[in-house]
Amino acid sequence: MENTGEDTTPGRVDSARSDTLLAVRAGEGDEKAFETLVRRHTPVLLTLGVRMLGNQADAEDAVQDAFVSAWRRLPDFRGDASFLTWMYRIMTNRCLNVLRSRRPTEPIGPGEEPSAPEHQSSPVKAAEGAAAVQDLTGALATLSPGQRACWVLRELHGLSYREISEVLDISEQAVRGRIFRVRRFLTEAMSAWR
Amino acid sequence: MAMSATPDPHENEPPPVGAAGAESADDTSEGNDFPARNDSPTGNTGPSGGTGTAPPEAATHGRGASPHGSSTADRASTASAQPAGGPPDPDAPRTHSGDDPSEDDDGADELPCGRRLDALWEMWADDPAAFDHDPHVAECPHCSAALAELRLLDGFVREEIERDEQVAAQTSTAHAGRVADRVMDIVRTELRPGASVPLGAPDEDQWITETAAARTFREAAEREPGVEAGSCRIAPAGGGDRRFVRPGARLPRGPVRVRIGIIAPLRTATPVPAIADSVRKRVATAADRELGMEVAAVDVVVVDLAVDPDAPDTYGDSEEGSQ
Repeated sequence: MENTGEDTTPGRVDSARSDTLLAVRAGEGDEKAFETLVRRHTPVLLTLGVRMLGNQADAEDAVQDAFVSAWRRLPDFRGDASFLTWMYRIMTNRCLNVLRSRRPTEPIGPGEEPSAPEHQSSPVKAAEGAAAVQDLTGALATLSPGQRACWVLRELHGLSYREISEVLDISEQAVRGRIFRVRRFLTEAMSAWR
Repeated sequence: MAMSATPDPHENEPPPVGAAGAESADDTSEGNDFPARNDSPTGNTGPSGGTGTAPPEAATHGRGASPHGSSTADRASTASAQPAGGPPDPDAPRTHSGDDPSEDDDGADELPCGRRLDALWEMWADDPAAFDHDPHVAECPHCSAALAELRLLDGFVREEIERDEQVAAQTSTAHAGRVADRVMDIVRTELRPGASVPLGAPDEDQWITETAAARTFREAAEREPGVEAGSCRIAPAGGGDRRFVRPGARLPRGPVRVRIGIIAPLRTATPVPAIADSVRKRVATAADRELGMEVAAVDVVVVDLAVDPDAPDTYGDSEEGSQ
């Protein structure tokens, strides 16, 4: 049943297995089983939302919408992918829709910073490191939503190519190609910090 | 708040294209920006699909398969998909603007030394120590420079992750709890109680929802030490395909058949069939004494085995071994 990733660390397998059981129960209408899943996975999906959408409020709305959508679809969930991969998929698609609906009104060009993400504005690090990360954030903002999703899932969430291909419904080969191009784009964008 | 408590009946409908499995197909309606993957690049797959979204995928495709031969076609399809003066496609407008990294890399995959940049980087990303046994990379200025660039990026990425984690540690628990509460408030307005199952004697008119009965049976099964209960369905004992019972419909009055899936503990002292038998008795007893439901048969399906016999509390929170 846990066929979704190369990650075979015991903890990961256990939690996926238990997810599967809970997802089956939730699909049969057990809302308490669903609540366990919601509380277990809300933090990581919130992080994904902030990384994709750039602010906490939009991320919270997207996670909420994703879980409500999941509740409605669970009767058809057959466990071909792990529950978490399935949630990544619903959540990522939510974020892509939000980003696309934003784009006409919020053009983001290279070098400009129209809306600094909330989590970036906290004074955490030394100025230079913060500025470089700001540059990284700015460079990421110029990516297409699909490219950004690929890169965020791989580099910030550690999903395997195969998992990403399931999340985005594209081939593994396409995922590799896209991540390579984003990496090259970002290394060029960050080369000033060498 | 973007989400209303009212379900949108159209939201979950699968798209007209049906290549993917049923479970995954319905997700594509939520905003897959590359719906045409298995179709012709110009095929129109629906209102959110369209020709405008195909080129990035085609470009991605071409890159992996044939970096040089396909680039012309990629650009051609890009041009044709975004005709000047045509209506803007909200799904695709900026994908091919000048800052798109997919636009500037034709023919640049190979380093002057002959190594491929994507292969080099992927090797490093998979295992940074992989090059310890590759004398070429250590000596080659091109490879070294390419790796240095990726290392630099990697450093910034790690900083980014650290910052995220710091922020998350400060704020996330409260936020996550708030979001989960909101989700469950909505879910409780959309419960799925399932079919009504007869209680009592055949001539009585008492019913219980399938979910309530299933909860009782799962709890009974989990009183067997180490057992976790999963699926629990209730069907008329006389046969008939349970799957066609509509939500909210009533099963015919008369005895029912209970089918419950469990994860059984793997213990040397108690063989699995004995555990399954014990679960069967517990469920049958609960049906009789707690619910007053006439159960003709209880099927116990062992869906998995758990190594550690310690009983989980409830709802599978335990992280017991699985191998």
